Amino acid sequence: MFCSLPSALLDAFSIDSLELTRPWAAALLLLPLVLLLLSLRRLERRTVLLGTARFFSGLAGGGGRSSSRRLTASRVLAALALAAATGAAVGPAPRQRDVSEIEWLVVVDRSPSMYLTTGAGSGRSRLAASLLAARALLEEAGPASSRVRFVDGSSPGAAVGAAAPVQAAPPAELLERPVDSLPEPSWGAFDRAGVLWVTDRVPSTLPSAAGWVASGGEAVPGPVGWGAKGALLWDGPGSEPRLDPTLRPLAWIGGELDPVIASFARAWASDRGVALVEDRADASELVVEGAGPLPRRVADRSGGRDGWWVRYATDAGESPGSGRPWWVANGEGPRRDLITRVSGRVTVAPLRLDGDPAPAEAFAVSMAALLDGALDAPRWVVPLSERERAGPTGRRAPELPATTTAELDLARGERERGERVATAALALVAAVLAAAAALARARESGRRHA
Amino acid sequence: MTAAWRGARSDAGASSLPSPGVSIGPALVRRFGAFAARLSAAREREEVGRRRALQGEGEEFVGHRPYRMGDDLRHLDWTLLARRGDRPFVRVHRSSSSERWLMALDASASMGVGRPGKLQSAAEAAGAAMALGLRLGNSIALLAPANGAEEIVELRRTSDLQRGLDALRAMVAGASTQSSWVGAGAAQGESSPGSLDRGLDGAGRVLLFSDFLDVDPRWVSTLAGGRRRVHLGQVFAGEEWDPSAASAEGAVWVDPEHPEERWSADAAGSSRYLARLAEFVEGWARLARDHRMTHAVWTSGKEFEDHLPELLR
Repeated sequence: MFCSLPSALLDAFSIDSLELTRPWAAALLLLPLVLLLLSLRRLERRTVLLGTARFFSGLAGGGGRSSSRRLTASRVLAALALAAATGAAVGPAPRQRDVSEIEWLVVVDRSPSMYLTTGAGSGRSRLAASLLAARALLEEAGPASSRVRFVDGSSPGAAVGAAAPVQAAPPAELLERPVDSLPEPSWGAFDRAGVLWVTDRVPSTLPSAAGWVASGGEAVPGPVGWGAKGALLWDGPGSEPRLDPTLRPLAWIGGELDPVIASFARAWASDRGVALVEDRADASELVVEGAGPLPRRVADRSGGRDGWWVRYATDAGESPGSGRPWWVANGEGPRRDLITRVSGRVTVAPLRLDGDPAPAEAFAVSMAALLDGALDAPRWVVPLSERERAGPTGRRAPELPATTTAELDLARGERERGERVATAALALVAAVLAAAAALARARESGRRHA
Repeated sequence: MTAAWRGARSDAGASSLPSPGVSIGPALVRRFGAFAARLSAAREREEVGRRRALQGEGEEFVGHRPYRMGDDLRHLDWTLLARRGDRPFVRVHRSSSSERWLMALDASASMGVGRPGKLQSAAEAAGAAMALGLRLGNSIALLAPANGAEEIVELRRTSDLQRGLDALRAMVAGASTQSSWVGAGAAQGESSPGSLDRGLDGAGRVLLFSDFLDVDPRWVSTLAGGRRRVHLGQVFAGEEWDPSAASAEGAVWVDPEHPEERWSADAAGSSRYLARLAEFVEGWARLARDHRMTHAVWTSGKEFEDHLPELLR
């Protein structure tokens, strides 16, 4: 988040990012120029009658040039100080834009609690409620022509959708609950003017420049975990989670599956506490499916993985659907994926095993890992910390962006900081040079009067 | 060696000097009178019987007073002591003969330096000394320019003071009409004495006002002798003590008596210059001590009341 001084200076002096708030002050540059020109002018030294002048005879400087230049160190430093001070006086600042171009940046919390309801009997999710509140707040805080862009704060830096009017509905993908459990955003990274945080509870550390909207919400009882014997059910504040054996993940195993694979999948489901459903559409957590009819040809190939080996037969068709290949056929010809995997689904190509894979233990461990990885976490399981009460609603409007345009990328914030550093550096340089000039002047004066 | 008691070398010319002339106005004359009255009154209060600084040895007996520690035992009246036997008395005299003072001012070009000029300061000191001397009953011989040469102006009564002041007013530093008024010839080994030498006859005191830059110390040492007292008033301009103050950006220093020679100096050179000047002044102070002369140094901006009593002590 922090930028080095040299890069900040370079960024700050990019012409298109700066404008001069007091351009007339550039006329002050004449002062150091005049000072230097006057100092370079060769001046006739003053002739002073001195009855005792003979005592200078033979001393350093004797012979007496009648002219001299007065470009002393103190004058050079003073000129540099004036130039630097002029640089600061012209007021380099981030270029201002039309106020009608205000663009808010809305950072959305997509942690699991945001997809719970705000309270008993409420059908609205905390996310939907907070987004509605955010829209109302931004309509009050800026002109009607303001635009807004959304960022998935739980996936840092990920913009969601294009800039849209404040009144427009938020992107639909924000409202969909992520498959994985995402963390709460790192709010500190988004604390700057023009940014609004959208969450369900009042931030533990309030922002200094950003605004925030909290939907609030009551505790939402429900499953907070699951295992082979069932799910852990939380009944609400003051209660301890209890085991509910009826709540299980749902899987469907079907299609034209090799009997060895199908029997192993069923054994795995039984061991893991996964319930098998008859209807494929009811399988919310896993589908294990054979992609086509079993080949009738003689097993003419052999292969395996994870230490097991088996002879098998397959056809020359296409690889079964999309997904990450888990087992790929050996031999000549085009690549043939035998088993692929995506989240919540395992697809098996037309495949017939010739006998049991050996060694059987290696096969069991390998297949169990495949199915464990493919099984989705049950959507109805939400961690206890997320189900607890979110507190009251709350909101605070963000500061108007310094540039009147909220930058979408975090680099913009760094550039603004760099510009401030550059101006401060100019002023600091001027102060140091002025102090050095005063010191040099004092030393010269001291030598003359020594 | 240069002239012993040199007169003006008018190389710089009076017109180019910052302060070539002498101005003595009524206010200054009043200060002379007040100064003379104050010092002469102090002298009158001095105990008779001691050697008096500015008056000849008294000869007229006026009475007795009790002896005090420090009184000259030669003035103790032994006869009276023998007759009374209880306590000693000294004889009190009043001077019955005046003393002749010879005064000379350096009017060379270097005396035209400074604001006020060194010659002006020297003339003020001389004028005050002149008023004091006349008030004390002494006669004054002032070496002054006249008719393109120099002559000795004799002043015998207080009413002559104005004439002496006129002679001072006529002085111009570096003026071509002012040739050497002192023993240039004597310094160069010639037999004819300078004008100052001629005035030495019968002088009980000699007062010289100058910067003593081209004066031969050996010649000055010959002025003291017998009962004659010599007073050396040495004056410098302020910028001669602090040349850098005259020009902050550096300057070219020019000797008004040798304008073809120019000097400049850096900080170290200026420091060495001051050391040389201090050494020069100390040389004259040493000479004065060795020959029982009085010596006072002052800056031309100072009032004569500050330094003249020291010179005339």
